[in-house]
Amino acid sequence: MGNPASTDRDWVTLLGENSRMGRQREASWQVPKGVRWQFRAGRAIRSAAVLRDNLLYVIEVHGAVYALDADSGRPRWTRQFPDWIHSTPSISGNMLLFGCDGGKVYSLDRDTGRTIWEIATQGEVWGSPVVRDETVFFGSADGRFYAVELKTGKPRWTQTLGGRISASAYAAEKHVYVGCGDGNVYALDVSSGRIQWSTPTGDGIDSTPAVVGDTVLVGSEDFFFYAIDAGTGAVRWKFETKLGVSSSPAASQELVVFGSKDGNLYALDIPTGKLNWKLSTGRAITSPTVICEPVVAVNAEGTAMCLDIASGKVLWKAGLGGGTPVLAGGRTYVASHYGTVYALE
Amino acid sequence: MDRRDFVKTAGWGTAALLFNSGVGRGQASPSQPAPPPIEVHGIPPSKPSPLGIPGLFPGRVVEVFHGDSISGNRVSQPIVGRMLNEGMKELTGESSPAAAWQRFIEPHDVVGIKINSSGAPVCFSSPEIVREIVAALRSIGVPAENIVVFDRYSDEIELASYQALVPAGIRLLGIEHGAFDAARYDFDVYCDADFFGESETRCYLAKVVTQELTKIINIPTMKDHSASGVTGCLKNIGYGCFNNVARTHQLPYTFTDPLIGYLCSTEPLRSKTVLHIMDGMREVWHGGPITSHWEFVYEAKTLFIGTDPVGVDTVELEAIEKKRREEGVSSVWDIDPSTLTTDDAEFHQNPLKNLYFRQPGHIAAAGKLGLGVSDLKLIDHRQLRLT
Repeated sequence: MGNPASTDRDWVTLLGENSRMGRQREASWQVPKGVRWQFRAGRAIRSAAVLRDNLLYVIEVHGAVYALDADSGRPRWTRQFPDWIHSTPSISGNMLLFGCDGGKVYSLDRDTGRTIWEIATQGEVWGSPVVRDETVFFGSADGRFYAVELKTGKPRWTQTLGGRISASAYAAEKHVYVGCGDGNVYALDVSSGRIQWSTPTGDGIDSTPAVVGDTVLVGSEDFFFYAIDAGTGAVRWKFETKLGVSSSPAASQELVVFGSKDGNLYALDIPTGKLNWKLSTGRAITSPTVICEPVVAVNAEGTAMCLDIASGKVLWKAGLGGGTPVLAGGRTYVASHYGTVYALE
Repeated sequence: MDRRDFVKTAGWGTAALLFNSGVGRGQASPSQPAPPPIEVHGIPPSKPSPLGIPGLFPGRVVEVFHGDSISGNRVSQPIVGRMLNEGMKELTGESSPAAAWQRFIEPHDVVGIKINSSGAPVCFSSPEIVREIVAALRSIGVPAENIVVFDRYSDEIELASYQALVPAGIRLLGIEHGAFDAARYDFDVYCDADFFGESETRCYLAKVVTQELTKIINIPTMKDHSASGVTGCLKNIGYGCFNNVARTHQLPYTFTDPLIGYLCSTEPLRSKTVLHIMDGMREVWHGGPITSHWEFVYEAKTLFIGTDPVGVDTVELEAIEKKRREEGVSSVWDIDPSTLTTDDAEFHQNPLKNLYFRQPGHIAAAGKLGLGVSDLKLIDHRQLRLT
């Protein structure tokens, strides 16, 4: 991978690392006993936090970007952007990358907050940029998918798809996989952007795919969760929930976990699609799931919770006001929708 | 000429109108204290628009039903597209959908589609209907960049996944996110009233309405409402475009009547809102506006189309009352204090309970402000049953 987590203390993309597998290498998560620090950003936060080299990066929806010392919560630097921001940042080397509702994608020096480059699209960029092999991949509400040079932001290629692209992509060695508002899951050639295959679902896709082996796993607003052959685009199985699935899945060995707007968290067997367990939370789940073996974490409309991945048993939960948890270095970080960032340990 | 110049030359001064809000129920009653005066500061257009509320067809409501339009909570876009086409032709008397849309919209317009996402993920403006409206606008020459799908709260838009589900190239806008987020409101256009001694007594209109849009298409959903009785065209456009409106509720009282009507009458909201297409695919007959209890959601498989929000809401109110009678629960007009609860969970689970003395009279009150026809006998209610 081009952007692996460098240590067990880092969490560099939306789901920890580009593999979307969570942090399975380490079993470092522990039930939090208390709050180490909290930082009041003041405005709502709709994206997830990322972490590297003991700096936690969080972005308010109203455009303020913060680099916080992970031990103390004190800001190292802050920057205010003119647009609203829903995009979760990604880290690659010294860069912090994210998109804006105004259509721009920025690369910042993550030590100083200085802009390294920026590129404009014609629609909102809500997804988190994904980096692989010196290329940044992202989609836009203008219906185009972009690949740009990591160092310069210079376009390598663009591909027009059939609808808005609000979710993040998964970048594999040869293909980039992304869901689209036109209901299709696309596999694009990583070097040219050419469409290798597209597989229709019954409605738009707002979920970021995970790839395990040769299986693409993704939810659709058609109420189904899909397992698709990564080479051909053939649907291997699909699993029906009672409402749309915009929650991005996390996978662990042969288990994939995702939430549905029907209020349930589902764990399915990847080879067969068979239900392993489900948990009713009573609240719509749209946030991504994240895995830090042996637990899976999710935010269910304001309640952060960690569950035993094997059984679905709730190990810990806290009404912190939302935010996809970051599990790293033995701590749990939550950037709440109400604008408070918590470091729990 | 900037907007402030325009106000002066239009001769309206500050365009402030002070209403003794007796247009609602007029005086105190056991179910509602006397409403306070409401001061309306609008920016009227240079000349009144015939398209503004109540629009080209006052009193006309077209109800379109198709039995296969929704099934298992999945809406059929091809079928709602056909329902929309037939309904628009019936409303306007035009022979083609394009001609019908051209009665309201010109290619150079900047068109706002005011959705209702407050009931997501259970009952919200169906993306299938929104996509068909966008397609209709595109077919008559409105460029994608001139179309804005908007609602008041960005987190509710997000929960409904409109960010994925509306067509590429059009703009998606949440007016605010979180408390005290007033940056996207226009401080020159507001309604001012002190209902319960609150510290901020003004409701401001969204800038996208005052400064960007030239036309608005309103897409409410069909729901009962714990405070206003029902929520439809009027409440979606009034409480959905102004901020600081929740202060009109204080258990067990609510001033949705008369504030809803005043908000909808405020310029330029009134002049720019030219069409109302109520999404009646799902009908929430108890627990609205936000419910997660499917037992109170009925697949009504219907669209209501009109230019008169009072007329459409009057028909909606009757439909919800009919459903509530069928389900054996009280009328939304009921003001029996024994049905009240302060327990939100009890309200959501028990259709015999309510939080407020509901105020469905807000519809007739809006009619008295000239926003439409609330007398069922005077409403030209046309019903199309498609197969």
